[in-house]
Order: sequence, then C-alpha cells, then structure tokens
Amino acid sequence: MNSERHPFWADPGIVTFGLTGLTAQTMGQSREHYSQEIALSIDYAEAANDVGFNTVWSTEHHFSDDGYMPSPWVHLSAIAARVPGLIIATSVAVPGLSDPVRLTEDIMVLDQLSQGRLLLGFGVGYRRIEFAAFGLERSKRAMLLTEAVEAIRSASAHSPIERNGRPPVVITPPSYRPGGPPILLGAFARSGIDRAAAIGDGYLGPDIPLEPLTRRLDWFASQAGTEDKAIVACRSGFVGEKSVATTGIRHVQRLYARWLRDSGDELPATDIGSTETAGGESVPGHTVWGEPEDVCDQLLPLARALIAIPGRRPRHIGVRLTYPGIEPALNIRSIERFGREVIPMIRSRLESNTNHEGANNGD
Amino acid sequence: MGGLFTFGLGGLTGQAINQSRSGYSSSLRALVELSVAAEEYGFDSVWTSEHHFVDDGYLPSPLLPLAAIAARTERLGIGTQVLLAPLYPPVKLAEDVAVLDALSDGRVTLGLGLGYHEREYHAFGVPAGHRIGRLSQCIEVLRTAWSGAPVAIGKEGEPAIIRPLPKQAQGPDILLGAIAESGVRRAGRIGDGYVAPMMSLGGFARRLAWLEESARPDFSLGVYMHVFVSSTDAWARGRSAISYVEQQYETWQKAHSDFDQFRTVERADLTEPPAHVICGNPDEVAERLKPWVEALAGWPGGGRRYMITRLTYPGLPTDIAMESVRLFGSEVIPALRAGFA
Repeated sequence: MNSERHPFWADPGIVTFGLTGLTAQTMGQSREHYSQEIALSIDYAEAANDVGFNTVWSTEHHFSDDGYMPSPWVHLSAIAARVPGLIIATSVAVPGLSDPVRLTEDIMVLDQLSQGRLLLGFGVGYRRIEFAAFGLERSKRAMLLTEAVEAIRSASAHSPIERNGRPPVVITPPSYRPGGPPILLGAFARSGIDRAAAIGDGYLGPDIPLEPLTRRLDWFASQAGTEDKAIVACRSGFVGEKSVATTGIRHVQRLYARWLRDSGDELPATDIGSTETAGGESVPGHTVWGEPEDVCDQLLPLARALIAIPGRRPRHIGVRLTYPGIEPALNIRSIERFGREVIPMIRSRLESNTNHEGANNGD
Repeated sequence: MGGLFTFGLGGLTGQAINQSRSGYSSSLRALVELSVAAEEYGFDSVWTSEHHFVDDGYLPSPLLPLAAIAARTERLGIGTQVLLAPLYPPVKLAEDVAVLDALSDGRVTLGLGLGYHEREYHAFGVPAGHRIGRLSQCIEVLRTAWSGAPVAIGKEGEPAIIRPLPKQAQGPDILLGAIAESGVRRAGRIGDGYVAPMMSLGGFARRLAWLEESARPDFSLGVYMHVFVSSTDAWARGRSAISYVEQQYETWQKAHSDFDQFRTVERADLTEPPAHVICGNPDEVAERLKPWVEALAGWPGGGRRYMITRLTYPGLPTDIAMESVRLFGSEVIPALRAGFA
C-alpha cells in the first residue's frame, strides 16, 4: 500500500478541486478572535470533506495583524485529524524561513500522521520582514528553497541530510511513502517556473487572469522533463450573494497587494487584469463568484485550459471560498455549494464537451 | 493542600518497534488514539516528548500530534513534557505554540528541557555550551511575544510582532524539567512550574526544599513516573516493553557523545521492575502512588499539581496499551482523588 503513488496522481485525466486560503485571518484582533478564526478554519476544512473536494490547503505568512496563519504544519496536523478523506496541502509554505532539519522533521511527522496525504506547495517568499525577523538574507531565498527541497527528498529516501559544517543526520521517521510528499512550486516569474519544472513535482500557478496564467502553465509544461508533473491553478471565489463577500475579498486582496508592493515584487499591470465592482467595492475581474451557475461559467475556461495541456498529469483548481468578516455559516455554505453544485456542473459541462468532440472525431 | 490537582498521560513519544514506514505511521497514530481515549477515561491532560534521529522514530516534532489531539478532543489539556528549547529559533517556537494554543482554545502547557545529546545540538548548529543561555533567552522571547510586544532574535533579527496571539492571556504556562540542583533552582526562578522526572520520594523532597527558596506563590509542581497497569500479571505483560525504554534511557545517559547512542537498543529483559517503575493492578498502583500525591498536594502554594504517568511502551500490543490507560483513568485516578477529597 505504501508503494502506491500519492493520491494526488489518482485521476490524471480529469480536473479536480481543492479548498484553498485557510488563512485564519480575522477582522478583529483579540486573542478570542484569533482562536475562533483558527477553529473556524478547521471547520471549513471539515465542510469540504464530503462534498466533492480532493484537497484542503493551509498557508504561511508571518507577523500579520489579522492573524494570517504562520504555522502551516501545526495547522495541518489539526486539519488532517478532522478530514480523513482529503489530501492536505500548503499554498504556499515558505520553507526557506525554517531550519531545514526542523522543517523536514515536521513534514515527515505530518506525512506519517496523515498516512501519506500531505502535498507540499512551496514558494520562495517575498516579504522583507519575514526574512529579517528570522535573521535570514532575502537575496538567498532561491537557494534556501532549493536546500529545503533537497533535505525533504533525502529524508523521504531515509538517507542522511548533509549540511555544510554540520554532521550528517538521518531524520526518523521518514515519509509514509518512499517517494515522500510531492513538492509543487509556486512562482510568478520565469526563473521560478523554470525551477518548478526542474526540481518540482508540479507547478502552482498564481491567482491572476486566465491569459497570463495560461502562458505560465504552458511554459511550465514545455520545460518540465516528464509529462506527469502536476499543474494547479488558484482562484478567489465565493458562492452566494456577491455583496456579502466584497469586504472580505477586498481585505485579502489589499493585504497581498501591499505586501508585494512593499517587497518591490509588484506585478506588471498585464498580470493584474480588470476589476469588477459590487457593493461599492471593486475586486479582481477574474474572481469566480455569485450563484453556482455563474461560478461554473467563470471557471469553465480555466478548466478547459488545464485539460488542453498535454500529458498524464494531475490538473487541479484550488479555490478560496472563505473570507474574514463574513458570517461563518455563509462561508460554510459557500464551500458546500461549491462542492455539491459547482463541481458536478463543471464536470458535466466538460464531459458533454468531450463527448461532443469525440462524436465529431468519430465522423 | 495546594492548588488544582491534575492527572496527565505522559511519555508520548511515538516510538516504533516495527521500524517500517507504516510501522512509524501506526505508532504515531496510536499516540493520537490513546490520547483521545484518555479524555474519555478521565485524564486531565496528555504530554509529548522530543528527541531526534533515533532509529525507533522517537518523536522529533512534539507539537504536531498535540494539534491532531486538540482537533479531536474537547477539554483535554495538551502539553509538551520535554520540548528541547535550546534547539528552536525562539520566534518560530512562539508562533507555533501560539497557533496550537489558539486552535485548542487555550489548552496548552509548555514543558521545556535542556536536552543532553551532543548530536542534537550539532545538527541544529547550537553549541552545547550555550544551551542554558538559549533556554533562558527562549523563555524571555516566548513571554514577550505572547504579551503582544515586539521580539527580536539576538543581534541579527529585526524585531517582529507575532500574530496570532495565544488564547491564554499571558500565553501557556512554562514548566521546566531538571534533575541537577542548578536546574531545579533555575526552574524556580524563571519557570511557572517544575516537573520532577522519574526519581525517588527522597530525591523529590530534596528538590522541593531547593524550590521553596525561589518559587513564587502560584508556582506549579509536577512529577513524572513510569507506570504500567494490568488487572493481572502486570510485570509479565509489560516487562519486555518497559525494559526497552529503561535500557534506552540508560544507554543515552551513560554515553552522551557516542555515535551509536541513537541505535535502537537490544531488548534484554529486566528480571524485576526497577525501583522507579510502578507496575501492578489498579489497587497496587494507587497504593504506591499515594505518597506521591501527598507530597505534591502537601506542598504550599496555589499553583497546579501535575501527576504525569507514562502508561504505554513501544512494542506493547495496542489493546494492552489501551487497557493500561483505561485502568489508570477509570480506577487509579478516582481512587487517588478520593484520597484527598
């Protein structure tokens, strides 16, 4: 059983879906708010367990007033205990901020606790304060990421980890499977996508409009040496009244925009795209929101773009569906309706599409 | 009598005799299942420990199973019995423990220790000679971070304000484990409590005297014991598994700097239980633990009292391990509580 491939590779032909953005951010800033919001993030993961999602995703940023999750491995250990049927993942964790030995031990223990359900999504990180507070040089971030990936691969093989100036150590326990948890790399820039193609098991595309996203996915597929590397696209969305979600979506978008701007990593205008206004606030035009039919219509072009990329690879769409400042019951409803209504709708539209094409080919 | 008396299931290490990939997984998941059962059987808390690079998978990440346990229990306290503080970057530890406390609705207690394996310090780039300084600095950073104020790592780190904050107002209590006089006195000075690991009653009494000079009125006090409970033939059933743990610690403590110290020990069964291991049926175990309860309860001050017992050992069949936990929870704890009601 242990020698089977990771469950993320179970259905390489179809598009699967995940719940991302379990950030535990809160509009309030008391101990009570932080505690409630983390407990809620676990409830949100649980809501995704039986309604059609394949994955749930934690994340990592540090020192944010709104409580943005800094500890994905602690968070996912709790989540894994409550979602026995799902793959648990990060989008993204920043491994370069931790000591590689400690990081790898946490990952191996979590992989074992979850019986091999862990899927790693890593980024190089960008916020200056995060590197500075941990006494690290941001300019070395690519190297720190690569070192972490090597340490995790060695530990998964139950081989010694060698680091300059320190004696080699064998981390025990090793991973649940000999291959270890798969490692997807997230990236905006060409160099990062090339790194994902070279050393990753897949690519985590950013939450940007379809055209610049497709360009990146295609580039990744053309650079990846094998046809089984995973492609994942991320979207922000909400199933329900748009006016309910605008403030929460705006809060999250503004925070990311400020962090990127402060770091000098601002996106070019062509990658930001248009905006849409609802309830007096504007959100990115590629937000997938509204009634299930609307969300399905907005996601179909992305799903088709993923299907169009050749190879026997996992094709996955991760959607953030919960935001701070929204009634928890409405966040849960957003998750349940996405799973029960939007996912089957997209599947059936893709299928009828395929059948139609199949019939044409038959002629 | 002192403050609130609590019973904890300790020595949760996830060690595996079956050292295959799935064997490690089974041991870690059994740790979680025993803890979930412990809440039902009447324990107040569960406690994990930390060591690194041991063949038997001795838990290197003591916080993670606690998060899994918190997600599946309602009121059970979760704690580290010994987290090796000098090996952690303090700001990262402050964050991880804050998240654990927030997600468990404030159920965390943090037990810290210095550690003693040279190899662990080397692997984390920590000079062994700095361990005491690093422990003190770690506690300072944790408390400052949990109060909401900015913290910095030594000279090289830029100050940062950690969020989220823990649920408990000043963060979790910090307990220190120690055997040597200097360590016990340090616990009195800088800890919120002291846990005495596996010693005789006489040894415990000496340490209490050291503490009385420095400890605050609300200082907490605990003891950690190795216990095994079975309705019949306790020693015969537990001997081989208990021997494994006893010999492992003996090997480690004899030879700190020996490279082979992390090899799994050979199982040579002890012929009778060592003096500090309490093995028997529920009545016998309660009888032998009574003087410990009295020593803990009789100490002045209003802090918590922790009786932490290891009840399971690597290689014990799951049903026998579970029975040891069940009998202690449902029979020994009520008997001991009745003694000071």
